[in-house]
Amino acid sequence: MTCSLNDLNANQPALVSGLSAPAAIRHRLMEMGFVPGAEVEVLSRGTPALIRLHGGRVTLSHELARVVRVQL
Amino acid sequence: VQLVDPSQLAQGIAPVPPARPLRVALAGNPNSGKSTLFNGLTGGRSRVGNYPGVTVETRLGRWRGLSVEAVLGGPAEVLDVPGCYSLTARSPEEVLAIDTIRGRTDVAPRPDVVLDVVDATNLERNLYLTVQLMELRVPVVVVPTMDELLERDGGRLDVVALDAALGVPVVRGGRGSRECHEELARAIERALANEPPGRPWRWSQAAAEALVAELAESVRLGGLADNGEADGLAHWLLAQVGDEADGGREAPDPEAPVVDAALRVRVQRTLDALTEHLGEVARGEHGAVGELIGRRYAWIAERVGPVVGPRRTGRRVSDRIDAVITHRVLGPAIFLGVMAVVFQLMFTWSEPLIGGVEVGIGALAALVRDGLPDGPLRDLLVQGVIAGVGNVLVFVPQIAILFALLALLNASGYLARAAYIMDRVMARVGLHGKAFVPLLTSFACAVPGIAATRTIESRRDRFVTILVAPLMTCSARLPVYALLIGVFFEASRPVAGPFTVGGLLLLGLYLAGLVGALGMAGLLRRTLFRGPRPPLILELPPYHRPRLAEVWRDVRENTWVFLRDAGTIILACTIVLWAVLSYPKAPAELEARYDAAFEELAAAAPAEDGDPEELARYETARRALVEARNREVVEHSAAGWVGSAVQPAFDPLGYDTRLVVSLMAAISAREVMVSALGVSYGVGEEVDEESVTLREALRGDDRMNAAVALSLLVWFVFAFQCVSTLAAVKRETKSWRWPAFLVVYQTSLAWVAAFVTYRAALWVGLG
Repeated sequence: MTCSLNDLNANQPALVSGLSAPAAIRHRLMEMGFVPGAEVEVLSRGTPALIRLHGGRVTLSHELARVVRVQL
Repeated sequence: VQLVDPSQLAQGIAPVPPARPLRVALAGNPNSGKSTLFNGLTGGRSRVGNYPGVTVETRLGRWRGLSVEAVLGGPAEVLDVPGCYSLTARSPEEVLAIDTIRGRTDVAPRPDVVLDVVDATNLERNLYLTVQLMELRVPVVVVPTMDELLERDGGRLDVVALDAALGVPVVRGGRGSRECHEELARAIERALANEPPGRPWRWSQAAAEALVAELAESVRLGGLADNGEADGLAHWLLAQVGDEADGGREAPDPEAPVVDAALRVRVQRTLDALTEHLGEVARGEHGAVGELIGRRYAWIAERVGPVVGPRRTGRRVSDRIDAVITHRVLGPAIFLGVMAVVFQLMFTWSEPLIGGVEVGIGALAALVRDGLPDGPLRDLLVQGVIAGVGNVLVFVPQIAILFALLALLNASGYLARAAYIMDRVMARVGLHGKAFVPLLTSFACAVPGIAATRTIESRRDRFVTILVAPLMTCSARLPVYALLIGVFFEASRPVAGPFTVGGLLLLGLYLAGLVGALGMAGLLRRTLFRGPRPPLILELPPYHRPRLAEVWRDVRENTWVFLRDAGTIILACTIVLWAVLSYPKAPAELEARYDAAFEELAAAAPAEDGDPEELARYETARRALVEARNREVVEHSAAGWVGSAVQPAFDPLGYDTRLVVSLMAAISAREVMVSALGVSYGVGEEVDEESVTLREALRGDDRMNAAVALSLLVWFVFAFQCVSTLAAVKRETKSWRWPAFLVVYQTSLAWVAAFVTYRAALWVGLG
């Protein structure tokens, strides 16, 4: 099942499947590690949301989290 | 030690001649522990390399320790590269990062070796930069740090396995301790002996490889890179141009493009061809650049995945702390509490220190006064130099304490959380959390605050933050506030609980500055800097214990910069002000007239043990006479002429000529106001905000009252009064347009606000 990062419940691990955003934002997110296959988990929902990505913790605003498509 | 030999500049990347020190660059992600290592290597001693034409500063230092010279056969210098996640240049700091690594800045040539500091708790993301460095074929040593945090959470880092997996030397940073110096030096030796690395990954299609090879060839033929670097530069260009071409993002500096137009066209051609060849995946949503980034990460996952082991999904210590600190309700409450404590400490801790500084300055002034004969030189030294410098020195304790507290919060990881928490508030005015740290720093001084905006990627956001930072209540306003509140209001009268009139007035002034800054930001964001709010990705580094040595270094460096910049300007202005207020001297006729009046008054003086009422009346008459003489003396001086000419513009705000003269002097720096008032009220020696004579002189001035004081306080909240800020804005915006704009908008804002305040104060009867 594919949905956006915003649809994930807290503490529900998922895999990044793609990004639906213009190139500049897409590249930025990918360089920060949101590449297809990367494991993510929302630690705290809301805006900005707190997300575990690889071993790090990053925050994404609501509109950014929306472009990250994930697969459960 | 000569750090940079000018004769090396032209040579580019010639083999290391034995005569010059080895150039070691220190690169890494933000929060990777890079500066800890830098300080460990250089012993905390460094100088700031200020590159002409580049707004950002980097630090240079000599690598200390004998073992290093023994291993490497000569001295080494360490060059700090701004922290970045990727070499794709999106902010001024990132432009400098790539320029430093490639040796393109005017001052520093290409480094011989790059120490790439990686956060062991987040290896995959940190190694992305490593792959980019390898592509550029610079000798790389990977230095994992914070492995103690990894171990705190039950992980472990296998350095030997990582070394084998990456194919470049890997050596533990060990927080830059002395023991690891030799190990680092040996790793550098190994990196230099090896063939420089190259791009470790391949495109999935041979056709793509061929297309990029073509681009590399034209880059090489164009003289932009040598044989070794061409492939790496071609790949860097693909990402850089692919990112800018989209139109979704503005260049860090539109006036100095990172990639020039002709090259951009050439790179774009390759990008289009690549997208065509890479088939469905790339044409769909990835694009050629997405594929490029994906290939880098795929290589990391393939090589490093087995070393890192299965991903740990458990909660770390930091996550448990964050559950409270970044909580939706608790977070802002804790944040407010932290800020309240910071300001409280800033005031209470600094008090004894300020007292000490004042005593020292007073003693020095007394020494000079007693040691020199009466005359212009003594006046200049006591009233100009010592009073002027002294007025700067009294802020140093407060500024140093604020810098220390901010450094502690930053080093522990809290400041990143503060930006995260404040993001929701900042969003209302069109800025985001990242702009909050520069504003917070501006509570100490706008100059470092403006410098702190360099980490903001969007030019619009950066400029708006720069333009509103001077509205934050900096510590230079404090002495003026303290003086005026103390003289014209019952500062210690309790209002409610522990709060007094003085405290609440001060709080109100701080809030007025904050509200002004946020309001102005909102206005600018909707007018001159209209545009979408750029997306924010903020990393929350793991919490860790700050190292006191680093906090101390931060305090020392920032305080010194403040002293140097502010000190010279204030000293110069105080001397000039003293001169224009003292000369030309009032005519002898005036002096004689007042001398006679004083004698007449003295003759009628009551006995010292006489009627108290009579004594008080005499004292009032004497003070009025002093006041009248000073006023006339100032009116005869050069400053007095100018002040009288300008005064009508300030008449609606309630300011007389002497206030106007002082305000004009305080354009150089706010804190000059106190000594300027002292000089223009002619109260002479030992003028500071506690000075009884200046307080009495102000009280005795029948043209001054609470309404004028309020109007003046409000003027100080908003007005432009700081030459250092002007220089900082010019430096960061690289134009005189924005400093000019700053002066105009701040002055207009201040005039209107002070006018409204004055009228309102008169209306409620404060006159």
